[in-house]
Amino acid sequence: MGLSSTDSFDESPSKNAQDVRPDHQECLKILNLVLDEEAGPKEQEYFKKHIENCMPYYEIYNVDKAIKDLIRQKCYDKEVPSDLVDQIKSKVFQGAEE
Amino acid sequence: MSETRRQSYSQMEKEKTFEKEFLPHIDSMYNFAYRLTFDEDDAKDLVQDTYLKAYRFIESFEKGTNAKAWLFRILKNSFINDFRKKSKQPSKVDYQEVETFYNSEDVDQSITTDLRIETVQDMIGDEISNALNSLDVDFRTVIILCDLEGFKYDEMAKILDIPIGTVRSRLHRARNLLKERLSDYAKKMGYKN
Repeated sequence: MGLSSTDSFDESPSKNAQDVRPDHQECLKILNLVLDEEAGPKEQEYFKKHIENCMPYYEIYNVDKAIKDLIRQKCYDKEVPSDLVDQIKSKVFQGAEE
Repeated sequence: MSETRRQSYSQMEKEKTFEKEFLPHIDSMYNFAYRLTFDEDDAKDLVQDTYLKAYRFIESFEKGTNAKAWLFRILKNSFINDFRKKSKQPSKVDYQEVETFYNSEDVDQSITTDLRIETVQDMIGDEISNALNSLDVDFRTVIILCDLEGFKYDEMAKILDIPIGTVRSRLHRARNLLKERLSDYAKKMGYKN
């Protein structure tokens, strides 16, 4: 379930990887950027490393992603009334078109 | 997007631009309009009104720029000016929201969620739709623009006339509110594990 990434993050996988010092606030800023594909390569890398070592963030990111995907799949649910395009056209072109 | 250089269009170009650049977005526009008004007739009027304005002001549309974003901006403004006034639902968003939100101490509290991925994936659609509809209109709007329509932050900033920092903080708050609603729903339905 962890990201078996090719990135070697071989700093001893201890709880106290002070040199990496995952900063939750920094990560929070980046989380939405990553989710929305607005993050630069550096931010993506930073985030990826963080969630490899941080279960809460791994969970949050995946929940957020699942919700985002679900919105895209399920919330596009209104059919355009069949006569709307014609109504618009006839108003806009004021009957210039057949 | 703004009152920049006016373009010159022949009548034929106007019609062609309208047909080729504007009309293909009607599905997205209607869906957005419905999620703003929750009324089919109002949504129809709003979309129609948007297209009429788009045609009338077509010379303000810069060829080659993002037509969908331009149309969404007109729609959003029409909604605020014509529809929201009529409705009794003022915006409840606190416009004091600022980027410094990210530096506040309670950031970590705001991200705790007891939602599980499995729970979200079990949801069949109505829950997410209802949760989205239950948000205040400004929060609903950023989620629709970003997650449903795939606009980038800078496009959203232009559509909504707000700085990018505000787009980001509003989106963050909107997502947290959405998760709260989903979480409440999950508890009620006994989804919890």
